This record gives sequence, C-alpha cells and structure tokens, in this order.
Amino acid sequence: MRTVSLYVHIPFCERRCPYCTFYHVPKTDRAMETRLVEGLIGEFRIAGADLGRQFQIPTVYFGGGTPSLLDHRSFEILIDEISPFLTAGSVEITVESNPEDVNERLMQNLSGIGVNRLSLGIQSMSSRAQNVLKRCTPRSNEQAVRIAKRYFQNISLDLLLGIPGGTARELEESLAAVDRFEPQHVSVYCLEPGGVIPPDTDDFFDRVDMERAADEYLLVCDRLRTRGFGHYEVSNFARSGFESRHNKVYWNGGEYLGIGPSAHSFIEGERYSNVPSIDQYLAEWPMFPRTVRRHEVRGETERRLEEIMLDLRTSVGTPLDRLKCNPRLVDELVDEDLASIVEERLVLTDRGYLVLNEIVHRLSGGPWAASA
Amino acid sequence: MGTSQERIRNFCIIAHIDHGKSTLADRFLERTRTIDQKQMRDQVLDTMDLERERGITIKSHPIRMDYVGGDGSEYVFNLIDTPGHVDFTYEVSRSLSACEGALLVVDAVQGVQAQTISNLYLAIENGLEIIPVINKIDIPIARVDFVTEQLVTLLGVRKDDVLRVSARDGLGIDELMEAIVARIPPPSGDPDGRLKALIFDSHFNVYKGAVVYVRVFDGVLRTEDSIRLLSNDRVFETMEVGYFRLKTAASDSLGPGEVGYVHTGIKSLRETKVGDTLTHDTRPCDKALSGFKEIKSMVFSGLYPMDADDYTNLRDALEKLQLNDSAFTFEPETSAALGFGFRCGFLGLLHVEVIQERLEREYSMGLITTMPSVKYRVVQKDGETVEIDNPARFPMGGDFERIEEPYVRTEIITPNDYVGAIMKLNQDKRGTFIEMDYLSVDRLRLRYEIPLAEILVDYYDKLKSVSKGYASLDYEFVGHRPGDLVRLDVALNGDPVDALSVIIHKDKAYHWGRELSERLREVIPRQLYDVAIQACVGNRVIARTNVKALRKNVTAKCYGGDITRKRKLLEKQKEGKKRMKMVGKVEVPQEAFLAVLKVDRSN
Ligand SMILES: Nc1nc2c(ncn2[C@@H]2O[C@H](COP(=O)(O)OP(=O)(O)O)[C@@H](O)[C@H]2O)c(=O)[nH]1
Ligand code: SF4
Repeated sequence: MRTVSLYVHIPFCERRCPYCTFYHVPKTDRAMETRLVEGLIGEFRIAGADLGRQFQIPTVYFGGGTPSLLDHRSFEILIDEISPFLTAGSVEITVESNPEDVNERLMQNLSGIGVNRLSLGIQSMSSRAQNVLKRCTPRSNEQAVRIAKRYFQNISLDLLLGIPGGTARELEESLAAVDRFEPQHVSVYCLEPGGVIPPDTDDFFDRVDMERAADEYLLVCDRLRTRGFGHYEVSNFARSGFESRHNKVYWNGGEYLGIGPSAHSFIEGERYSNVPSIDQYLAEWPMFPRTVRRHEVRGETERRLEEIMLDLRTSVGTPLDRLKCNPRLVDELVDEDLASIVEERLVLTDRGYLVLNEIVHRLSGGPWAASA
Repeated sequence: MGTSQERIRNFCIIAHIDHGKSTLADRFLERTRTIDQKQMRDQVLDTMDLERERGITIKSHPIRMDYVGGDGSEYVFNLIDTPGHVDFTYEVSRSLSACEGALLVVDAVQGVQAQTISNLYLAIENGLEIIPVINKIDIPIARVDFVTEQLVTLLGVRKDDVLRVSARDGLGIDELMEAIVARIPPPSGDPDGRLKALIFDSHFNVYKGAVVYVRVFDGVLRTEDSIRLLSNDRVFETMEVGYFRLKTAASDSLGPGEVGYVHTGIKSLRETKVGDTLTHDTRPCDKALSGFKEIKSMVFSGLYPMDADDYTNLRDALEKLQLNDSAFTFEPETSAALGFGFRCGFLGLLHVEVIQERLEREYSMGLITTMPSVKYRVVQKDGETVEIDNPARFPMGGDFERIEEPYVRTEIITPNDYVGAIMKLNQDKRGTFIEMDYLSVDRLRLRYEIPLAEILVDYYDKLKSVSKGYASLDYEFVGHRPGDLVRLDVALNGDPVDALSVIIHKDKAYHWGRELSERLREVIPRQLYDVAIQACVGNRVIARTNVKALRKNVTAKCYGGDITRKRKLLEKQKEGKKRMKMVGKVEVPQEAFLAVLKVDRSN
C-alpha cells in the first residue's frame, strides 16, 4: 500500500532563541492551542480525502517550534485522529523536545501514546555557549537525557557547531557528554542564515566563524565514526538500525504530508508549502486551502538540482550515470579527496559534505557544461 | 525645390554634460512648433537610453525647424547634435564642419568646464561663428557676471555678445533665436555647381540599407540620382532623400546649404564613411571636401560569450552592430582559456564600454571582454613586419629584431596651476615632452608623444583628476616606435590563461604583475580547490599569491522536509555564478578579465 509520512508542525515556543530563523510564535493561551489542533485535524482530513484515504503512515514527526509545549490532551487527539492510518507494528513516531520541558510526566505521557523516538535539542554542553544561545544549562541537558532514557530506547541529540566564541574545549565537553549519554542518534548543525525569519540581531551570523565551524564538523564526524556511529547523511549520525526513517523519506524521494503553518509536503512528485503564519493558517484553512497551501512549481532543472542535492547529502550518494557533467569534474573531486566512487555511485567525503553546495553547482551544469 | 540659402542657419550646440543642451533643444522645438507641447517628452533628442544614463551623446540626431523671425521671414534652422568624448573627436569635427555656427552653452553656476573647450577649439578651427550662451540664469546662485567674464576672456568677445537664458523657464530664448538669425552666416554654396556634399553621420536601416546624413555644399542632390563616394568611387542610386523633422520627411531634393538624409541602399556602413564627399557620378566635383580621415580602430580586445552556446548569437549581434558603427571591427579568434570568440577593434576605451553595454543590454548576452590591447608591430629577423593586436601572439624567446608600439601625440590644454601634475603624469606614462605654449596668461597647451597603450586605460581619468577636470585632451596617432616590451602572463594553478596576458613595457612588468595578481586574488572567489595565481615574464615568476580553498558551503538543517529552501539557496548562489567562466579547474569571474584595467599603471 502507498505510504505517506506525516510531519506535524507545532509553532509554539516559550521564548525565542537568538539564532532562530524558523517559523514560530509565542504560545498565548489554551484557546490558541485548541484552534491549532482543530486546524491540524481539519487539514489532515482534507489531505487524507485528497489521497483517497488509501495510504499508510510509516513515520510521524512532531517538529517545531517546540512540540513539547503541547498539552497532553492535544497529543492524544492528534494521535487518535491519525492512528487508523499508522503502519501497524513498525511505525516511528518522533517528538522534538526542549530539554527544559523533559520530566517524568511528559515522558510517560508521550511513550504512553506510542511516541517511540525523542529528539532533544541539547545544542552544547558548555555553559558559556548555552548562554550565548540563550538555551538551558548543561545541567538541565544532563538531567533531561537521564530522565528521557528511562522511557525511550531511541534518542537523538542535536548539537550546534560554529557557536560564536566557541573553543575546542567547549566542543570536547559536548562530545564527552555524547559519550556519556549514549544516544542512538546525533544530529549536527551549523548555525546558518537563510530561514523564513531573520535572526535576533542582524550580525548574529556574522559572528559565526565558518572556518571554525568547518574544523569542528570534521572533528565531530571523525569522533562519532570512531564511536561506532554511521554517518548516513550530511548532518546525521546513527547507530546501526537507528537511522531516522522519517528523515530518510526526505532524502529518498518518499512521499510526505506536512500539516500546520509553514509545513512542507511532497505528494505525487510535487512540493507544497503551507503559509508561515498561524493566523492566516487558522483563518483560511480549510475554506481556502489554496491560499494556505502553495504548490511549488518546479521545472526540469529545479527537479534535477534537488535530486542531485538530496542524493549527495546521503552516504549512498548519487549514481554516476545520473550526472550529466564532464567526467573530468568527477575525477577532480576524487583526486582532491572531496568524493569517492562506491559501486558506480559518487559519495562525498566529510570534506566534500562541507562544500556540498559548491559540488552540486559544479556537477549540475551551467557554465561548466561549456568548458568540456 | 530647396530653401533659399539666405534663410538657412546650420548650427550645433557645444555644452558640457548637464549644462542644458537637451533642455535648450527642447525649447527650440517648442518655439518653432516642430513639436507641440503635448508631444513634448522631456529631452526629446536623447532617445537611446544608453545615452541618457551616460549623459554622453553617442550618435547625432540633426533636426530641421521652421522659424519665423522677428522680421517676419521664415528661416530654416538645422540643429546638429555633436557627440562629446575624446574617442569621438573625429566625429565631432565632422558634424561641426556641417555647420556655420555653434552655440556655446555654459551653466551659469558651474561656468566653463574643461571638456567643453576641446570641442570649442574644434569649432573655431572649423571656422564656425560662436554664440556664447549662459544657461540656467534662473538659479538664485547663478554667477552670471563671473561666467560672462570667463567667456569674454575665452572668446575675445564683448560682454554684450554673451546671451543669457534659462532653458528650463524659456527665458531669453527668443533673443537667442534672433541672434542665430543675425549672427550665424547663411551657407553660400553654388546651386549650379557640381554636387558636393559631406557625410557627417550615418546609421544602418535593415530595410533601407545605409542611411547617410549629409550637408550639401554645392549643387543639388535629388532622388534617383546616380551618386559617387569620392573616397572609394563606390556608385549608388539615391533611393530617397529628405529632411529631418522629428521623424524623417522625404523631399525631391536637397539644395546647397541644406541638411538631410539619403537612403543609399548600400548593404553596410563600411563604404559610407563619415567625412566622405558625395558627388554626381557623371558630373563629379573636382576636389573632395577636406579633412576626410579613415577612422581606424586603435584598441583591440577579445569578446567571448560567457556561454559557449551563444557564439553564433554573438556573431550575429556583432554583425548588426557593425552595420551601425563603421569604426567597429571584428574577426573570429580562439583562446585556450575562453574558447571561441572575436577580436574586436574599437576607437578607444569608451567605445569598448559602449559596445559591451549594448551587447549585454540589447542582445541580453553575457560577455567576457579581455584586456584591451593596441596594435604592436614585430619586425622579424628577416626584416618582415607582422602586426599583433592580441598578446597571445607575442613572439616568445626574443626571436625578433624589434617590437614597435603605436604612439600618439597628445595635446592638453590646461590652466597653468596644473602643469606640474600633468607633466608628472606624462612622465609616468612614458611620455616624451614636445612643447608647451601659452594660449593666454593663465592657460597653456602641452604637447607630448606617448605610447598609445599608456593612455588607453586610466590616462584620461587621471588627467581629469590631477587638473580638477580643467584639462582637455585631444590626441592623434603619429606612428609606431620601438619599445622595450615584454609579455606578462598569468597562470592559474600552473596553467597560463592566455586571456589574461598583456604586453607591457619591461620596467613596468614587475609592478604590474604584483598588482594584477593581487587584484585577481580579490576577485576570484574561494572554490573547491586552492587557486595558485602566478604572474610570469617568460619563465620567470615575478609575483605569486593564492586563493585558499573554500571550507564550507552547505545548508545543514533540513527543516521539516523543506527541500525548497535549500534549492532556492542553491539557485541564489548559482545566480552569482552565472558571471563565472571555468578556466581549467578554476572558476574565474567575468570581472577578472578586466581586473587588469584596475591596476594602477603609473608606477
Ligand atoms: N534651473 C535650471 N535647470 C536647467 C536649465 N536648463 C537645464 N536645466 C536642468 O539641468 C539638467 C541638465 O539639463 P540637460 O538639458 O539634460 O543637459 P545636457 O546634458 O546638456 O543635455 C536637467 O536637470 C535640466 O532640467 C535652466 O535653465 N535652469
Ligand atoms: S530555534 Fe527552535 S526552539 Fe528556538 S525559537 Fe526557533 S523554533 Fe523555537
């Protein structure tokens, strides 16, 4: 049967992180949450009807914002609504949580309704860095992981690289904590501009040291590999068998439905994005689905570009015969240790991942096609 | 039949940019009802937007107006516009010689500006009657007395001869038009004489072929006349003759003293050269009008399409441009670095820019222009001479007798305050002092002989800057002279990039090489690999630097399946790369090929 993964966007945040470029709003009151949940359910029903109700949901991801701010009742209602579609026996349900929100009750509640994967944004284990990022203390992180581990056997930790003013020692603190916490999965992100909203201060990203971020990235890749993590995607590392199935749907061209303001969908080869505005989302959904959900029209070039980019993000790489570029370009990448060829596929090295965009540019034609 | 010569006034306006030439022309068009108020767009004469932006009149647009004078008689005014930059001096001179008079328009606040003066002298040389006009007298801070004084000294006229107008508000326009009638002499051609007409401009029309703009001196030019061009004996039949109104207006004939156009039906502008004389094939005049010069391209530069697929489009575009611009030449060439392109010849650097801009704008084409070069002469051991206009052809290994480079004689007119600085500039540019003489107490003329290559790039700008804009420059080619020249090459990651080579005087090579590699380091973006930049003369590396490899360019977070955001970012980056050319393994931005221009040569 057709499988469609589900992403649910919970846009609420307790406070704003200075580097944030994602769509979020402060959670004002219960009524707002109730209306959001109604909206999500409405959207899910209509989308489900559009899909002919003939599909299974193998993975669900509650992302944000801060899904851990959601009331337990809301989780129950949402899970109730989708449960008839969930793939029996093997569904992966992830909830992103703010370490500060983790407590016995939340953990119990989430695992009680079938959530089986927890993603914790610990970011760093240095108090200085956490302070710059306006995130919780390393102690809170430590405590959150301790409690979470009692309820979840599949935990992912988010680490941030390139934190302004960061040092090698700070990074070591974070890596040592990873060793202690023994998560199944680690996601490693660099702070970067380019989201739907600007960061707190214009210069926030100017203070991000890209050179150091690059060094840190190489170090982290190396360390996690020696600790037995597989580096299965640019930013993602997992113990064997714990790769995020939901994320893999994104890279592998699987279908997914995103509900909620600013959520993204990929259905029948087409991309859609919801308005990044909870007010507009609630006001216009479901009366004017088209004003809320925009079809992202892509031409052949755009599709190809996405394909190559997504392929190259993963450790599986892209089949050489999909690349229509000059073979010399591929040889150069290999010579420079930016890529390797594995079973007729081009796979990037850690250094290659760092300059992935640049490599995509080179491989996807443009002026280069001319320089044969 | 043509207008009685007594009633014709042919004149042009000489003015510094922004002193109000276009506005004044608008007033004339209005007062003579050549155009009515409603039709009136601002600045009717400037039609090409390129000109509007640059403030330089590139092509002439003569216009014929009917003026009823204070004496009640009808006059014909032909206003001939003049281009205004050193590259185009010759064209200016030709359009001036189609006139009997010139209005020298000076801004009442700014006063006489240096650039105006070289054109003014050209006008005086051509025997034109000059009417000094102060414009913008409506401005409260107008310095009318001061400017009057300037004009009196400059022209040796009386104060009362200087007219005062506000082109914007229409003040003094009637007096000015009366002065045109009274002071500018009417033409005095012989209507029964043999036809003698000057081509002072031309343009190409796809349907009508070469359209030449003429001023008839003697005789009468009619439709279906059999006409001969004196410089090349080319004969053609006039398909149509007529006047310039706002648009063209056909007429049976153009009589002596008249200004108009001729459809020649000739398929390119190459044969109908500005400055040439038209006459009847069967009853030719005995002597050509004086001053005809073949204008030759002096500056050569390679033009390459950014995208190799555009090669044929580029060729088509160049062909079209050439139809319209007889001073522009091109022929195919290849570059190891840039692929297939064209070596193009221009009048000067401004001309290069104008052509490049037109190609990019009108034909929406991405282009790489290589460093402009002059035409060198290599005298070989066997005495034979070869001309090279592309540094790539420079003979390596010293296997030649000598190399000669083109020299020009420059004539600089400047207030004495700046003489020291100008002399220093000329020395830096390898100039040889010829002479200096005073034109008035505080104004003098300097003559130098200078390698053309030295004045190509920034000489004019430097001259303007050391003289606070007051010095004027005119130059003419005087021949080739031997020089101690070498070729400086640039290698990226060890591979020489032919398109970056320059021919340069030995003493300047070191400085140049260092500056150039530094400029390249600034403009070449960090990329996947280190880029080593070397400047070499022969096998000797004289400068080296490098661009470190890019460390990081990846969008890490794939947030909630938002692939589009990543793709858009990629596309945005890609947009920036459109102006890059792949040379070997290295992405070289378009501007790198002109980085050479930004090198400070004067050291
Ligand atoms: N105040 C004032 N401004 C004028 C006058 N004549 C022209 N201008 C302004 O001066 C500027 C340059 O005039 P324009 O005719 O374009 O100059 P051109 O470059 O010589 O053709 C424009 O902004 C005109 O509006 C005038 O008599 N008085
Ligand atoms: S970074 Fe995440 S938690 Fe922080 S404000 Fe933005 S959406 Fe909320």
